[in-house]
Amino acid sequence: MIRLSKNRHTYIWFLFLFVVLCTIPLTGCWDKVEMDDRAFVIGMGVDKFEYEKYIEENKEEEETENIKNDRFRVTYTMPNLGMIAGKAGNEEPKFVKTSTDTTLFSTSAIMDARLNKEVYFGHTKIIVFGEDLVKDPHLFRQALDAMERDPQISRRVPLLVAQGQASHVLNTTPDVEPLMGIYIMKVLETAERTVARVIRKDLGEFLEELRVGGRGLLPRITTGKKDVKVGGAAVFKDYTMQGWLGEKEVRSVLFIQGNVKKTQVPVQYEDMYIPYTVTEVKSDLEFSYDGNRLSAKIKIKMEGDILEYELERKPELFKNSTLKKLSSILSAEIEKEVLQTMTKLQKEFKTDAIGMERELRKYQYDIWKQVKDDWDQVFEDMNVSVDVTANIRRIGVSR
Amino acid sequence: MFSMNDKASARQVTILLILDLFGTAALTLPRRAAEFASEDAWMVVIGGVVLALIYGFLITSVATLFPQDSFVEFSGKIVTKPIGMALSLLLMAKLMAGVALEVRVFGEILKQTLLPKTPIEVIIISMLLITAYLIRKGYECRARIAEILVVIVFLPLIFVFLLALFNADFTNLLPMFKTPAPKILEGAYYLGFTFGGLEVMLLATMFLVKPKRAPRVTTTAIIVVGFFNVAVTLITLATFGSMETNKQIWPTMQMMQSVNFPGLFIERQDVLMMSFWILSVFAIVNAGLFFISFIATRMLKSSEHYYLVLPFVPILYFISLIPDNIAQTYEWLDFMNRYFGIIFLFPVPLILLMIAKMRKLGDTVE
Repeated sequence: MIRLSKNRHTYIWFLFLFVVLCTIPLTGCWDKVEMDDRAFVIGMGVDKFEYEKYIEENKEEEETENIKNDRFRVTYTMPNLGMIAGKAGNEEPKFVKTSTDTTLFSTSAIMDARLNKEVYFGHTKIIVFGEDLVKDPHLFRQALDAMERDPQISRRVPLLVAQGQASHVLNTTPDVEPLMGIYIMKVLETAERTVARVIRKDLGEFLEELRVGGRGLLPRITTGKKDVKVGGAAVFKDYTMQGWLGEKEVRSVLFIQGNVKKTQVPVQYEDMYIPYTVTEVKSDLEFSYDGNRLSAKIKIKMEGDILEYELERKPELFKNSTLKKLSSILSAEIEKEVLQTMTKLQKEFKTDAIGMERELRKYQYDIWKQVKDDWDQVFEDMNVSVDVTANIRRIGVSR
Repeated sequence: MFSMNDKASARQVTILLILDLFGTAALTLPRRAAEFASEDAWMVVIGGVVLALIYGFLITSVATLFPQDSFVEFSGKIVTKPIGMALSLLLMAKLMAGVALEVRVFGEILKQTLLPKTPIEVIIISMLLITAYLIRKGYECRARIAEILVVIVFLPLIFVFLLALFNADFTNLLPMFKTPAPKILEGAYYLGFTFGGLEVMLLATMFLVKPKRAPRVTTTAIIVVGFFNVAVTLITLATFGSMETNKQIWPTMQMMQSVNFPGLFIERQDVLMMSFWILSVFAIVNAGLFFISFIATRMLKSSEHYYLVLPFVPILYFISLIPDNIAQTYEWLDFMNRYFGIIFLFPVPLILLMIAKMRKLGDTVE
């Protein structure tokens, strides 16, 4: 300090200059984007774009040379933030924008040019693929890669396949919840929790599944007038959609995977139908290999309630013998259902879409090593036996 | 003055070493381990830790023989001045390449995830300048900063790991013990280099108040970091399975991204984690830069080191910008580890130790 005081003026001038110089780099921020300038993409739909079809449908359009090579047609839904905050009046609750380009990634750049905002995928809630797209392995793989590579898109975004065009799904305005993305996400969650007719799959999980031979399952979504329905699943092999699994078949798949939280199975009993509410499922897969044929034993144990019968019907439900009888009918029925689904996967789709190979590798590595090279054929020829035990635990509050 | 004290307690050096060893490597570790042994990746990591313990033992055995000297002096004493100088220069060059590439990787990750529009040059130069600022204050000051940083870096990490456990499916670790032993050993050898930061103990032992405690310090640091590395690998593998882990550049980051905070009120927590991780990179870069300037000081026999810090900043800056892209950066890092990683971890300390024992140099008698 003694030395400093000698040329105090120089010191102060240096300090001043230093502070001024510091403020120049510190105030700037290249990456600042105001909330208002961001378009939060809630739902994203990816379709295959075919120029010839487009020309046929829109004959009066001009400037078509521009889009001749386009391959992706992407639909974005964004919430009208002003409307949600309650500031704006009778405006639309959401915006739906569609754009086409040769690559998936560049469509968002085109969107930037059409909106007064910058599109942002950090809060994307769902991604829907069109049926045409998932039947084209190259485009589908390109789309998935773009999504995986982009750090903005979370790995937890649920994926769906639309029956038809993805843009139709996103263009629907559901009456219960105007924001399509959030709506579908909630529908998926409830459907998974209560009916078990849909497999929820997020981007990360699906990519993990696809790593083995491009096989996997994605939930199906269909549109109504004012709502959508999720149920069933698209079956993939070699990154290409092979066909659909129905809702009941998806339920069987969930039984095999032991991944059911709650579901209803109505079964015929003499001249009536009774609903069986499944509350817990445990499954066990066991493989054996005799040198040329693989056998799989699927053991499924479930617990549940019966909450509907017939008034004054005899024998009454409040009797162990009745319940035992019902239980065996139920077991046989579900066994049949599961076996049918397995046959469909094996013979019709010839696809191990439910990850049996992974189970085999995990628990019976030695068998897997013998059959891994020709898994598709081995799976097709696999001998499947199903053993279902459906226990009835409760019958409601009346006899 | 306080900051010119330049002695640190055993606890402080342990913390510095922990921060130094746990860095960018942890982000790629599960992938590299899975490349060698798929589901058995965690065994590879454990193997790496065991090797690191051996390296640490050798390095501190040599360093404690000369409690008052750094590598620059004691290598001169053991194998004549010129060779000692050459070794010191080599160590300096290696540290420089290491820091430069580390800073580059850091810049790339940051640009990719947090600051897409900020020029990478700005990210790198600001990181280097801020570390230079700290280093000028000396070793003791670094130690005190580290004591603050370690809390900020590790507590949130532990928190995220605990949350990630809910998301992990540990059957993904099956089948176990199916990788042939040579493959695991090979992997362990390469992953041992993630502990390359141990080299600084050749220089840092003299900063300890009681240099005799260096072996204990090193062992503690390696075990703590090793524990975290194994935990990261296990959780990442369990979350993704080995196939998927293999396909990610930074699987640990992706693992953190797939963590679901209860209540879902925070999204993109990977970005939150990044900010803690930046601090740990800061610790690594400042260790590197400090020891580079420290070697230079010792070689020039200068009494003060702070004026030798800034000249290295532009040099490191330019080296870090040489690789063309992220893939080349990693290829270079790999190349460096493959051919130079082992030098100061195993052969040099071993040879120095043997010669020192033979010539009965230093505090050999105890």
